[in-house]
Amino acid sequence: MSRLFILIIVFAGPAGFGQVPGYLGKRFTFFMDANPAPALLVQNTNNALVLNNDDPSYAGKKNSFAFNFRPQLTMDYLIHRDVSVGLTFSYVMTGTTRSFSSTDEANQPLRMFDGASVKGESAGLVFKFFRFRHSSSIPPIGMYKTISLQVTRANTYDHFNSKEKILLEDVVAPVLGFGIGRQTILARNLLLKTGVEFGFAIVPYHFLTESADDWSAEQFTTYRLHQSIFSYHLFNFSVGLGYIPF
Amino acid sequence: MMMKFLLPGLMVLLGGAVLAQNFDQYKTLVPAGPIPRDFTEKSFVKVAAEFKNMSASSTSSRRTKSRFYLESTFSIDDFLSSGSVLFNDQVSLYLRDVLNEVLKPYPHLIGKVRIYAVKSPVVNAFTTNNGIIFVNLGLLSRLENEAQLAFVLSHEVIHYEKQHILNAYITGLDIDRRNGNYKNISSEERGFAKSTYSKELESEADQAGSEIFLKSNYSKDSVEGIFTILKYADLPLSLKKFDKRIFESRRYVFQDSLMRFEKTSLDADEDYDDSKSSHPNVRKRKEAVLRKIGGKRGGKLFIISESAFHTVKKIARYEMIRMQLLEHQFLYALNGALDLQSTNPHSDFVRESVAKSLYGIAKQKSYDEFEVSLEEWNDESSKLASLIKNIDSYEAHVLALRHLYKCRENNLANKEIDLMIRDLVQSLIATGDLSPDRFDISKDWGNRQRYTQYAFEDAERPSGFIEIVKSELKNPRAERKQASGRYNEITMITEDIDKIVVVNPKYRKTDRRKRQRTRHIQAEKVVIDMNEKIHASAGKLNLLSEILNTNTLTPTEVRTMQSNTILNDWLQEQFRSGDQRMISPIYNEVAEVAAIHKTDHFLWLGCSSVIQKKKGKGYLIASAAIMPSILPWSAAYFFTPRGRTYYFALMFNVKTQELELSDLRSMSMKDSASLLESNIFYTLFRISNAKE
Repeated sequence: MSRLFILIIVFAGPAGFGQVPGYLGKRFTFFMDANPAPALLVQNTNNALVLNNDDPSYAGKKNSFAFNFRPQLTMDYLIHRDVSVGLTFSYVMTGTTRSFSSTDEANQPLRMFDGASVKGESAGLVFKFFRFRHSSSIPPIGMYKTISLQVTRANTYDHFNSKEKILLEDVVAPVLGFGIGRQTILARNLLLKTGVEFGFAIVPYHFLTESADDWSAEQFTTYRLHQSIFSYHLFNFSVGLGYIPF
Repeated sequence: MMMKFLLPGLMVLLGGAVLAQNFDQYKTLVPAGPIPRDFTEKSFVKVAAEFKNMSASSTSSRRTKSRFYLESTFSIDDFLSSGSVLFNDQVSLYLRDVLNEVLKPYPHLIGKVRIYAVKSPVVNAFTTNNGIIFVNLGLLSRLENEAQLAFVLSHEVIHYEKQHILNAYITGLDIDRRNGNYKNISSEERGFAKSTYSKELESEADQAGSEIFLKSNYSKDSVEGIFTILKYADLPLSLKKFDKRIFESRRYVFQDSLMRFEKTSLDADEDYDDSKSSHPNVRKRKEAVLRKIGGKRGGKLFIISESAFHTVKKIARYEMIRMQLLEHQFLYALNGALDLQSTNPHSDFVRESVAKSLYGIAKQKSYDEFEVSLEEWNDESSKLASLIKNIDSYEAHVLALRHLYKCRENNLANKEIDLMIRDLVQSLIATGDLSPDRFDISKDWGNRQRYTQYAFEDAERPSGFIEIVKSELKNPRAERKQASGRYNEITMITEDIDKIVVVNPKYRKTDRRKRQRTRHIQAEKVVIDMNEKIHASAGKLNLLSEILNTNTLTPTEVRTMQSNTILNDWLQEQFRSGDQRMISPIYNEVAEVAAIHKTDHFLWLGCSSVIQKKKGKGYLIASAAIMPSILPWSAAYFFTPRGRTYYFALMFNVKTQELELSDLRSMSMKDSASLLESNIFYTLFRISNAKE
């Protein structure tokens, strides 16, 4: 991926050099985003939810201010007055539920559920289209739309600090993202980004079409992981700080 | 001791060198010498001083006065930086001398009251609360003697001494807010109440001003004449004699029928209805002042200098023509220039002004935009107005060309005249009305061109004009090149640009959430910082930049003020010209400015920001109550005001008169230093990268 980014800078950059003002001539922006999302559809790493939806996955904690976060690093480069291309890397960290088999006092098999954590990472490309005609400001200041394509790799863990994967193989899913927002300068070379982002994770959708009662413990854990990845990316606020080094 | 005598001597010598005006080669008045403090002191410093010296009986009164001082100081300073106000020039210095003569019995006011001449054709003088008297050249062009000027200044001094401007402001607010005596006033009566109060102040200024005037040694008999001047202030000066032969030659003769109109009497009414006016009508004022003066007679018409007065009046009349040309009042300019020509037959300025006026009339006729109301022209001038009104566009073109060509023969190097000739020739070519044969006097062109055919036969070298026509026929004016970009981002740059001059950058800030909406002081600080931002951006782009910023002047930067005066006149005329694309009547003046600054590219830029309350806060509160997790965003939205920022940058090539670049943006963003910096950089970036 990094090679691709270098290629973009080498080939697309010079082609657009004559037409790209950037911020006082600076075109490169380095962003750190928190991407908070209210834990509505998926628990957070503490297994807290904003609403009790009475789902089996409910982990028992309810907190009105429960948020999921997706720490993200992005490097944007303006290749045209109104267009930047960026490389992004984000850390996936959210909650899920898993299922396992156990026995009761009479040694009868039992299906158990437990809160668990999803950990993983995502990387991809972000194309940011500044809405010059709308905000009329000179990028990187102003309103924007983004289209991103990322690949997410994640697995279920017992808890956030655990290093032991529950599933033998990581789930790998492409995520198609769309965002809108605005960037303003807080201080010299320091940008504030605010907006919203919608992501569509392409995972198997058994969790939407099937009943969890029919699933095996492994299927339950896998499908819940799919659901978590899907819901985790579905919507988040976009809040980040950026720096414009050159 | 030596210095005591040497210094005034040097000043007289140097002053004389600077001030001498050659009317044959008349150059427009520009500010001179060290810039007075009124122009260099920052507005916020002036406001702070006003606040410090302010006396107020109550909190409400203090608030009202604070607001007045803030608004008036910034408004006056805007005017001072407009380029219309002159200082240390021949006229302003003479005005100062007359004022000091009037104020001799009032030594405490000498130096406290300052006086400047203003390049405005309006017959008026006015005073500010902080002691500046502005006297329009339009008024000076009409006065008959120094004593009349002294009376006008006596009147204006009273406006300052009695704080009339402040009182009018406070009373105006009281009327609007229905305070005190105005408690039961109806909406309809408000305007009447304000007008009545204003008239009271003017009457007081007339009465108390008369007392000042009576203490002077100026002629008391001269006063009545001022009211005659006021009576006819809106009418053009009438020519002493108009003979159409000044436009004709042996065979180039206008038909007598073209001068069908001749009005002989002036019928301005001095007893007009003044119920909605700020001043009592002329008759009432005249009677009151003459009563005050009573039977007092005697005094001198001139004390400072009769010749200085007449020189100043002459300058004012020359400047009137220039201002009328700039304001596209071409018939007025022609009337004034013809009047001056009778007494100044060798003046190139007057001769060229006649030609330029005719050029303007021809252009307006070609666009069907020439309008004249014959009712306002009297006596001999009405004959001129009638002739000009009745000639058609073709005839007006030929008449203008004839005069322009004569000016050209007198001075081949006059670029402005040459451009005007070529412009008119091209206009005639475009309408199919011109070929070299058209002026061949051996041919018979029939009835229509029976006299225009001979327009150039009395020129020193008639063939020279035919050569111009042939040369222009070979290079017909190309269809105007379509600018690239949307209307708000025009680019017409055709050469590499090494240097730009930014003229008088502007910044306005409005906060609609505040009682004092216009944020003058914050805006002034931004303008002061703009120099640094412009230089920084230009530096990054290897573009040389010079800034004529009237907000950051030092006393020695008079050249900035001089350039600013001419450039602002030029820009206003350009906007007035619009699609007619006329050659500026001050093309040569602005070309000189371009030569001084070593660039043809002048940039006007500025920014305005508006901050207002956000709407829909109730929905936000309700949403946050239902879904507490959106509270951080609701709170951020709740406490962040809505801002819009408007930015403009217009760059002209003053030699080609093309708008080379426009950058107009209405941003849905709150203003900030970075946002402004980014916009300035983008404009300069486009300039340095936009060669087509």
